[in-house]
Amino acid sequence: MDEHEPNASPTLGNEKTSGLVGSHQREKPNPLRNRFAASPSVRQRLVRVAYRFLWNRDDAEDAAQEALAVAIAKSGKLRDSEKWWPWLCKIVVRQCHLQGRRKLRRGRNDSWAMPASANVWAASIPAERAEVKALVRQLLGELPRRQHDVLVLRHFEEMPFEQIAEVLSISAATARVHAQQGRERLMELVLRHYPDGLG
Amino acid sequence: MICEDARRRLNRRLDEGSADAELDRHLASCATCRTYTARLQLLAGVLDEIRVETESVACDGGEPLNLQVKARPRRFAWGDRAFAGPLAWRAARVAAAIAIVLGALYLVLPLRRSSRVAENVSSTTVPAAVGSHGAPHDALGVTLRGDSAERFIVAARPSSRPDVQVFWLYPAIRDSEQTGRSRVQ
Repeated sequence: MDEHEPNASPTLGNEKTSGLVGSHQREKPNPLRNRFAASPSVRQRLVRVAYRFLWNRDDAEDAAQEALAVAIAKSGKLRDSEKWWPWLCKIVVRQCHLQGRRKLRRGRNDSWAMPASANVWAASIPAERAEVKALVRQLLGELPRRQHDVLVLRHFEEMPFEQIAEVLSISAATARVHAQQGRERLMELVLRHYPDGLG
Repeated sequence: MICEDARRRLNRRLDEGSADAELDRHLASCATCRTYTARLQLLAGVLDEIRVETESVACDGGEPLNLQVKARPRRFAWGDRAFAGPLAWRAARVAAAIAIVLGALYLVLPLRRSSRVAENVSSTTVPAAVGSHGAPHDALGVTLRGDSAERFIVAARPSSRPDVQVFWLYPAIRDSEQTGRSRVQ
């Protein structure tokens, strides 16, 4: 099975596991443990997911690392091995939330200062388009948590709503409602920054 | 079709790309929903561009992740601060802590001792007169009443009788000149 397919599970193979399996050799062997440790693509995907939540490379790597450690420790709780990716995403999303709370406690703020000059909705020049994207990334963080999570998983990870529902422990219909409300809220926030909006 | 239903269908079309003739007819007649459609498509386009930009974040061929579990930072504990730093500072902190404890004990214990003595002598007849050499006299016995340590002070403790303490009493004249008598209380 190809590792690069969205729902493909990584193969075991004979590749090195960067010392992780060695540290757990005294424990009861778990076939899923090697699955997480053996595949660099799994780690890369986790870092990418975490980055889209946190927008900071270092924090994303920390969150992905924590998530992998938790997943390996709790791999025995995964009931359906075919759904390992939503299960792993659930763990990394939770780690991202924890990381975000730690950042707030430390007083770190990665917001971008936006110039109030661009006509957002009519932006076609690349520089203004970059400002629009930066604004949208910032405003995503101001959404309610559920709406933010659904939009990130839907638009950035291109997950179907059924999978989003598994990750966030909600129903697919609820996920659709959150997606619609999140988009409308995002539009409203953009218009609040740029009241001259639609050109 | 009402606009609320049209917005819901527009979002579904954005997610699934499904055709909806009834929706198209509504859009043809509703400017508000057309504005909503344009904004929704622009927003989706921006989000899609962000997705493409972040696609290669984790694929830069960097070093493999260190999968060691990080220990949680310990909360502050007295032991951490007391035993941190160069050896001289640590020794100084420990010595200061010991000195504080001993000083507190030194202050507390004499007070307790004096209060115990006060309780013990509150109803005991003791020698009151004291000679210059500090030896107790048996000439006059005084019965102390009350247990206030402020009413008397330790005047002497004869070395021949270490269990005996002699106190100076503060005389308090109670009776007036009428009776001509005075009592030591």
